[in-house]
Amino acid sequence: MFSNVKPMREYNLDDSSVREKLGIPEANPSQPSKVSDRYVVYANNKRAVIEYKTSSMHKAVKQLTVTTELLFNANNQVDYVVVVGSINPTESRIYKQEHRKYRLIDPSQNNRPYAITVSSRTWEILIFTEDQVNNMYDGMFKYLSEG
Amino acid sequence: MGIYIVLKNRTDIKIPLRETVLDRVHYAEAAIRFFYNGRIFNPTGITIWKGRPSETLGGEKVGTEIKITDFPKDLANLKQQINQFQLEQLLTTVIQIEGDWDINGHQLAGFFSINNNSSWRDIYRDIEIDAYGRGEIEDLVDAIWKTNNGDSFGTVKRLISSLDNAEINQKTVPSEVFFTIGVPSIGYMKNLRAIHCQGRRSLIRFMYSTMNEEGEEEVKEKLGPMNKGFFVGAIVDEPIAIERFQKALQETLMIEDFGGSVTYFASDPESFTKLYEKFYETVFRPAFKKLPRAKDVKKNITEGLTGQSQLPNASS
Repeated sequence: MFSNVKPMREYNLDDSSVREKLGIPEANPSQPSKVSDRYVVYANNKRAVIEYKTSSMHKAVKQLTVTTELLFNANNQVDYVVVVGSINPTESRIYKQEHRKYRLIDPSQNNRPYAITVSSRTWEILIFTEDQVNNMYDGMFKYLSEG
Repeated sequence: MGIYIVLKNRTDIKIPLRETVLDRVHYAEAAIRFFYNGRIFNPTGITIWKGRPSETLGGEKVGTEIKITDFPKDLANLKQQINQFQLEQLLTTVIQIEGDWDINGHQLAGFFSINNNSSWRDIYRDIEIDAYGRGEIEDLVDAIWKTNNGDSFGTVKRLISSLDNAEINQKTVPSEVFFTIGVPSIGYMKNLRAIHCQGRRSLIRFMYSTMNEEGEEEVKEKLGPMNKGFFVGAIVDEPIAIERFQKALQETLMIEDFGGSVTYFASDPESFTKLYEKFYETVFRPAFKKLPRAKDVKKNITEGLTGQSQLPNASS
């Protein structure tokens, strides 16, 4: 079951040769830092942009927005947009994980989902904690690979 | 990790809200100039957002985007735009000055954010300064701490000194500057790398909140009925508490005085956690020893009320 749900291919977007291969070369030397960490392909051919959040959530959202736009405009398939990480107590006023649906929602705006829009396509941002990523049966990889 | 600046009024006199916005711009400019003059930050553009600083977050661009070609002129242009905004609209804005960081050869995109929207400011403070991570470097504070050849304390001191110098003729002053992993959360000592504040009282208040998460059950049970300001006020000038605070500081942090304020600096990532642990053991825990638990206070309240039912009728 593990092999069915883990990503088939994983692109490290920190690597300039990988970005070039995907058709998103850097516009200037600092731009790669605005790009998310990974672009992954699952067994069902679904593809996800992933940001492993280490700092503030709004920066993670910005990086996902920039990366999704770059990948989509370069004709790469994007099915999911994902943050992996936990929400800081102060930021939890405006970011929350939706129960069982894993969407990143805004509790201050009637639980409105955060969504990225590029040329009339819209992706709702998903969020998984590291525990949920590691739990293959109920976690992120299962959810994404069966989606 | 970022740098977060909190401003407060210099006096008790109320300041017109538009002037407070211009003060935020002033201190952001002082911080940008500090990094710009060291060729560490190169601003590239200014965007004014209504609500939040991106469409994905629910924000909307307002005003005219400014592409930076001559920073002083472009900043004057920004101030002109600010003066043209209706006050009500201005107070919903987040002004982002984007640019490129070069921290000892590490090139990162980043921003200075002037947070006029109060709900955004409640989280990200008056001014947020940060960079997007790349590879081993997580963000701005990480870059300063990891790559400054041991002189990150020098960078922090010089930035604080620049903000101090920028106070002349301003109606607000920086009351707190946080250098943290992620957004500063009251009580999260492990996220702190440095804090510039009004001194002992501010830091003890910050540590007090840590007890909600980290304190032993016996102490947590006593926090409920206790007023934080009262408790901190009761211990902050006690000679024994001061002596133990100073001892804990000497063993954990580096300190720099700036007239009426102080910068506390962590030489290693664990410093603030160690400070809290030492202060908890030597001051908080003994100070709470004789205080009542929440359930005992509640019991006393109930007993008081029950006793009152037996009092003579007030009208008789």
